[in-house]
Parts: sequence; structure tokens; C-alpha cells
Amino acid sequence: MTCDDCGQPATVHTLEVVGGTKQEIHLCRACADKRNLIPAGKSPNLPAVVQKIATSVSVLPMDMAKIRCPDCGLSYMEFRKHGRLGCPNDYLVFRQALLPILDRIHRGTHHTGKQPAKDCRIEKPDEIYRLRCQLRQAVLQEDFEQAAKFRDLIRERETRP
Amino acid sequence: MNLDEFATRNGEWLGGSGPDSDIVISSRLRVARNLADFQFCTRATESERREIEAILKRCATSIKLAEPLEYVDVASLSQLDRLFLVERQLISREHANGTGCRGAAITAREDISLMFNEEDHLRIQCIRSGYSIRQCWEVVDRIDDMIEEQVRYAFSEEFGYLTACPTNVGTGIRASVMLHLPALAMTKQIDRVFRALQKIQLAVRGLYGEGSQASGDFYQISNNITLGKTESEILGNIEQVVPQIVQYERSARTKLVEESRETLHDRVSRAYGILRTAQTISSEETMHLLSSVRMGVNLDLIEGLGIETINDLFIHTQPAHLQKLEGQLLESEERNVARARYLRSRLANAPESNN
Repeated sequence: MTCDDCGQPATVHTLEVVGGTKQEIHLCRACADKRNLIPAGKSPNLPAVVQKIATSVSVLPMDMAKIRCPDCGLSYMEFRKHGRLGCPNDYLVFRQALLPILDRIHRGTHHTGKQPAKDCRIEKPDEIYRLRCQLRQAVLQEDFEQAAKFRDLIRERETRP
Repeated sequence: MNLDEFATRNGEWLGGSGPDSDIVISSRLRVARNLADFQFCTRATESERREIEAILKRCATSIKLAEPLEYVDVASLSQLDRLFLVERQLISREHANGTGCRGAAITAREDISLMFNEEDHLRIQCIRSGYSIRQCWEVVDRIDDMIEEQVRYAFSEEFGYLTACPTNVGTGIRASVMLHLPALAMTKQIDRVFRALQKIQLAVRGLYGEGSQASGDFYQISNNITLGKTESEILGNIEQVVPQIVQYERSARTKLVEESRETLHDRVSRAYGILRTAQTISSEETMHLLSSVRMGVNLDLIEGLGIETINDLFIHTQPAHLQKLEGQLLESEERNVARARYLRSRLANAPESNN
């Protein structure tokens, strides 16, 4: 298999989910570096503890390296590099990889504290949340006609009593 | 909100009142919250940040509190004003140095402050003088409820309140108690205390949070864990150790007085003397000397000088405060001269050290 960008033998293989369709990407090491797909050894101003733990948890489900959040576009490798998540949905998308990290940080993985009075669990997303995700996707794909449509739908829902 | 007016007075948390305030300077608690419908701040676009801030600003200024929250546009403040808010513990250093649309909402008493678009969309903080961490939680909990009525928080059944950094997920709570521990430091017992704290997952930091030096013998003790325990259990963990540390510090002070009263009195008096006469003095030296004087006041080695005056001097000799009081930007050397002048003027009419 050859690198998508330069034709050299590919050593980095990832899967991106763009607009609901999967896209396989094959790159050589140098091109993967250029695209920022390989976690750097260290980088400043990070929550060092998360980064350290994230890189030390080696029993990573193989697919995790290929996963990107369909909502915010964050890849697991980017999380590993920066120690910060991109959107609430990342907790569901990267759940398997996060569990051992959370256990290491908190010595616990299940919330037992305060609950919001109303049901706002992301496990049950509401319509506006879905629309916002679709809006982001449309903007990313520069489909501004679709984006305007989603924006208007969101406004309409928000002003509804 | 007029920040120049702020500079002439003090927040409630520096009042030197409240339980155990000879040793516990203040109690502070914050929760981190995010809106479900937006990406976290690090990935949000500038227009999303503006939208997030507009929503939270509207919520914050509409909720009914004994004292209203006043909005501050942090992004448009001068660097000096931002640093000033950091010194007063009203915003974090990260928030001051951040980029893009961001703000805060603060009460006039400075006991409650909200940050918008810091690492998380919303941070709600309450800070009180003395040992009153439960009261801080009650205040934050209530404000959190009032804001939740108006927005949809990012919440998961499994992981609780979702935050940009996994170190805050769950309760999103960070409770910290700031202690003045000069006697434990002087008698070299402090490291032992810290080792014990780390074993029960509590963190120890300096005066201005993460990575800051413990200058002036001030130490902040806070929880590390936010997930898997209830808010009450997290507070309970802190409540279990703070009274003990306060007790250790008191015994260490008593022992110092009993065993080496002269040495201690000499140290306190010299510190007081330097503060009253120095012509140029760094922030670090000021903190160090004020720490001795503060203990001297608590042990009646100096009479007629109130704890609130000392607390006041701690904050007003910080770089941004000093520059605000002087009404101009000053280089480090100029600040040292201005600081010494300020200390002399504040302590000129103060009584002599006890004999």
C-alpha cells in the first residue's frame, strides 16, 4: 500500500468519518507527521497528567487510533497529544479508551454526584443538539446552503416557546 | 464594572474573619460546566464562543441573588486589569492569558465569580474568608441550579458533568482551602503533612494555584478527584484533614513560643522592622516578611495591628494592585520602590513590636 500524499510505502493507516461516510487514509510516516496524525513526544502547556496517563495506557483497542468524533472531528490521537477533549460527544466516542484513563486519574469511572433536575443526558440527545452537529458538519464541508438551512431550523426550535 | 474602584478596597475573602481565620485564610470552591449543544472551548469557533458567552451572560445577569452579578468583558480588558483580577482570585491565570471571546461575572463583595469560555464554557466559583468550604458549596450549588433551569448542560449518566479535561469530569468540583502555615514550615514538619495529604488524593499548591510557589507560607489544599465520589464525600475528605492541620499548626506555634520565644520574637520584630523602613523591596521578600508578622500578630507578639491589615497588605503589594494604586505601569525596579513606599505609609502609624 502506498502513501496517499506522496506515493512512498504507507505505514500509518487511519479511518476518518466525514459526513457519515468512512474514508480510509494511508500515509507514510513523514506525511502523517505533516498532517499531525502522530502524537508528539511532549508538548508544553498541557494537562501533563492526562497526557502522561493517556500515553502510558498501552492496551489501546486497535481501532481507537483510527477513530474520529463525527461531531467535532477530534481524533483519539489528537486527544492523546493535547489531553483535552473537543466536545461532549467525545466521551461516548472514545469511551473504551477513556475508561482506563479515568480510572487512573480518579480511581473510579462512574459518576455518583449531583444530577441535573431535567434530563439532559447526552446518551439521549435532543433535536437541537443533533441539528448543531449537522450544522458543524455542513460548515466543515463548506456546504453553506445546507448550513444556512440547519441554522434556521435551530433558530426556529430555540424561539419556540 | 469599575475596576479602579475595586483596587481601593478588598474582597470579602480577605476580611480575616470566619472560622479559624488565624490559620485558614479562605475557602474556595468552583464547579466546571459545559453547554450540551456546543463544542468545548478549545475547538469552538469564535462565533460559537460569542454565542456561548451571550447565553451564559444572559443567564448569569438574570438570576436572583442577594447581590447581582456584574458582567466583565475579560477579552477587552488591559493586561494589567486582567492580572489584577487574577490577584484577587476572581479569574484564573489561564483565563487572563487566554484568547478570544471570554468574560466573567462578579458580585460587588467578590464572593461569587463566574467565568465564561475558560477551559470550560462555565465555571462557577464562591470564595469566603476563613474555613467555610460547605457554605461555598451551598452557594455554588444554588447558582448552578438556577443556571441549569435556563440551559442544557453537557451531562452523561455514566460520567456526570462533561468537561474539556478528563481531570474535571463527574462533579466538576474543585474545593480548596488556603492555609497559612509558618510554624509548620519553620519547624520543617510541613513535608510530612504534604506526604500524608498526597496519600489521600489531596493536592497542595501555592497561593495562586497550579504550579505556583508556596510564597509567604501559604498553601492551598484541594481535591484531585472529581469522579466516582459525591460532592459531599469530596468535601468530607478535605474536612477530615483541615482541622487536623490547623491543630498541628497551632501546636507548632505554641511550642515555638514556649521553647524559643526570644528567637521567634526577634524574627517577627526584624520582619516588622524591615517592612516599616525598607526603601526598595521585592514581592517575594514582602510575602516572606508579612508571613512572619502575621504569625506575630496571631501570637500577640505585635499588638494593635489587625489581621485584616496584614491580609490587605498581602494583596495590595502584588504587582497589578500596586500599579493600580499608583495609577501607572511600573517596571519591576520601580515597583519595588513603590512597594516599599506603600508599606512604610501603611505601617507608619502602626504600633511598635511588643516588648
